[in-house]
Amino acid sequence: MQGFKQSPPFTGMLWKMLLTPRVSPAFAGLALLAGISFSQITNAGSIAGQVLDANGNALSGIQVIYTREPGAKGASVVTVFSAVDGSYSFPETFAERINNDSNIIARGLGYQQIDRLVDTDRRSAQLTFVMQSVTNQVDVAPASAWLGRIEDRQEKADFVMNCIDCHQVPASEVRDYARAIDDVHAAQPELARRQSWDSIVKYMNFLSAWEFSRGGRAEGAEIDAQAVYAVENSAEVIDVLTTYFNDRMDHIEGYDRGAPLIATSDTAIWEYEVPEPNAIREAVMLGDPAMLLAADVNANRIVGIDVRTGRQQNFEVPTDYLIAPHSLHRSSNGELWVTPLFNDRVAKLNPQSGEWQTWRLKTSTGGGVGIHDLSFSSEHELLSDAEGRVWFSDIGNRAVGFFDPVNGETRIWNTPVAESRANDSALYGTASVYGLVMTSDRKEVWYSQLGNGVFGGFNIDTEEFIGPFVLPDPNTGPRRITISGDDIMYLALYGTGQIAEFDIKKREMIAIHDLPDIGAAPYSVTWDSVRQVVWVATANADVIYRFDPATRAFGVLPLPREQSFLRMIDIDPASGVLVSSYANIVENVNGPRMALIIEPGDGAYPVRFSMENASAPTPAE
Amino acid sequence: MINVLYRYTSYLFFLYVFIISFPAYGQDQAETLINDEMCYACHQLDSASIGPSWQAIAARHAERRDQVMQVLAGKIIRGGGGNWGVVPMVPNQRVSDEQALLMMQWILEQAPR
Repeated sequence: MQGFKQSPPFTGMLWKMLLTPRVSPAFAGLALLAGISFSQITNAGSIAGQVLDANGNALSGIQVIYTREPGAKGASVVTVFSAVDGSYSFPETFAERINNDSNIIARGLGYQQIDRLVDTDRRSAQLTFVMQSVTNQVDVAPASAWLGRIEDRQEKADFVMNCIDCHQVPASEVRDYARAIDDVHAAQPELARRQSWDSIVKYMNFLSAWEFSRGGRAEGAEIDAQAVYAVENSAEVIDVLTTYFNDRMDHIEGYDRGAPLIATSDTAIWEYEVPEPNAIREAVMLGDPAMLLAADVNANRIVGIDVRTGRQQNFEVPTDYLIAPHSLHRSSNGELWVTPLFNDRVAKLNPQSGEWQTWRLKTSTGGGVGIHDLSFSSEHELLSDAEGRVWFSDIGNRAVGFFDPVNGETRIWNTPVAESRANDSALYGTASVYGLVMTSDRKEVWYSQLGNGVFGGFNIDTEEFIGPFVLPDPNTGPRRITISGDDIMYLALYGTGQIAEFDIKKREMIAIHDLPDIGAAPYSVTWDSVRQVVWVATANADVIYRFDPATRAFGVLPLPREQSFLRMIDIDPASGVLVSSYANIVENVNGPRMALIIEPGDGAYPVRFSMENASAPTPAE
Repeated sequence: MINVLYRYTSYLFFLYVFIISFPAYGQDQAETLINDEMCYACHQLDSASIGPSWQAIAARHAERRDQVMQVLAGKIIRGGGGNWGVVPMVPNQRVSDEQALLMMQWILEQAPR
């Protein structure tokens, strides 16, 4: 994706505007009149073929990735997987002609593409890929693979919690820096490494302080390097970096995804590039025709991307304050709820009409709130209580609360102290409240506290807290959570690389499961009510995991690039396609800025997703 | 003879003024770039922090300023270390060649007064 990184945003958008077909039939008609060769326009591109190893044997589970020209109609990149017999085919016929210059590659862990044979005729392109197996997996192994160097799980969890909020560690640029340190050939290498990583930690604090004080910072004001996402425990972090990232980091072998691939010949991934500058971090799909709606946390906008044409439009939130759209929630009636980067504004968008409704929340005592997530159901849709009130996690006040969308009434309750965590001075008895779900009877909300490994519930009728429940390691990092139709709650355990399974009705932990890669940094989990599985969004492993509670088995779906930092997964209720985005936030982080749709290819949902007729929930007129 | 000399001198004078006005034209742009690209995370004008100060860099390269300008501009983009201590500079891949040159032109003018 090097080309995308370099192109200036404005000319990129201009290029896209010029080339994106507006109304194809009219254009074709005009072209005929203009005498342009009709065959060039209608010469459709369908792509199929096979993936073989160097001895001609079929290779399965290899990604075939087609990166289209800027301005192409539809997705920027489309990916499929080779089947057991090595064959693959792309789900749609592309408007452009496929030829030898088309950017189509094959990619797989432990493999390197050594040949590509292209055979095209007017209708289709047959591409055969030949892969050589390689010992050095550095090109495809994810960042999490390198965390295998840290054997102590507590040390690893601590490091993940300290460092992996904005970007993967060690992403390729981190490894490049390890190489730059080695290239200095310092007389005292270990001292040089320590000083260098120390400088990097300072640099990170500066960048994040600058980034997260946007909009609230006066011109030329001093930047508080300890604000928001400053690296805590710098000394420990520098120790880990110096100890484990102590070579050129250009060779890694023996990494395994740790679970079977769930990709089939019907699996497809459509990725849509959002031109920079942006800090998109979440996406859901709504509207007819279907649109990916992506939250840009650096701005006041939701970016809407038509999934069939790729055309993008901005939905500007009508507030005078930098709302910084952070979390998105779909409601069952096709509306989009937007919560901010922890301030007191909430917004709701009707994607069909483009109309907004906004609230500024104040509690009865006049205090503000820091909203993170809103209450949702096992269908992953916004759920209000019996009185129509929407509940939220208040990350600022360490509280849970509600607001009434009708009259704006807002109340919060501070979470109780977990005594066993309160004793350790480095930790907190109560910490920032992060994820939130609502039970099926709408009488309880349950929350997670990322910073101290605690979670609990709240009874809406009695206004009493349930718990708190303390997870084993203070750096467990319960982040986003989900709930099944039977009120089984799943928690993504970010620091320790696990998911927890908790029976809300019995108030009992069922089990805590290690992910296939415990360095994966699972940011969120989403219950799939049709498939009856949990989808796990990882920040650090470039994969999505599928967990089946019935078999307790994991499956893995690899994404087509490094730096696929996921923070959420939504599921289209009709077709069951997964919706997400790469959230390398902070403008100075390199890495893809894309929203994506994934067809798992398991035929589990009644309606098959079709790019031509793509539609998603829409508000009634 | 005197008239020719006079005309020539005044011509040179205006040419000189014309030329030295160019750096001033790009100066605001360079300063904005240096601010926006986070250079102040590691560099200050007149004191060493994580990296050397602008004044120290300008002083070191004062004599061969023109010869090294292009090379040092590339350094902004590539990063790397070994010249001012053991800590490598981070790369700045988003900066274009033209932007890097502008920034370096400004930096190399920051010799201590």
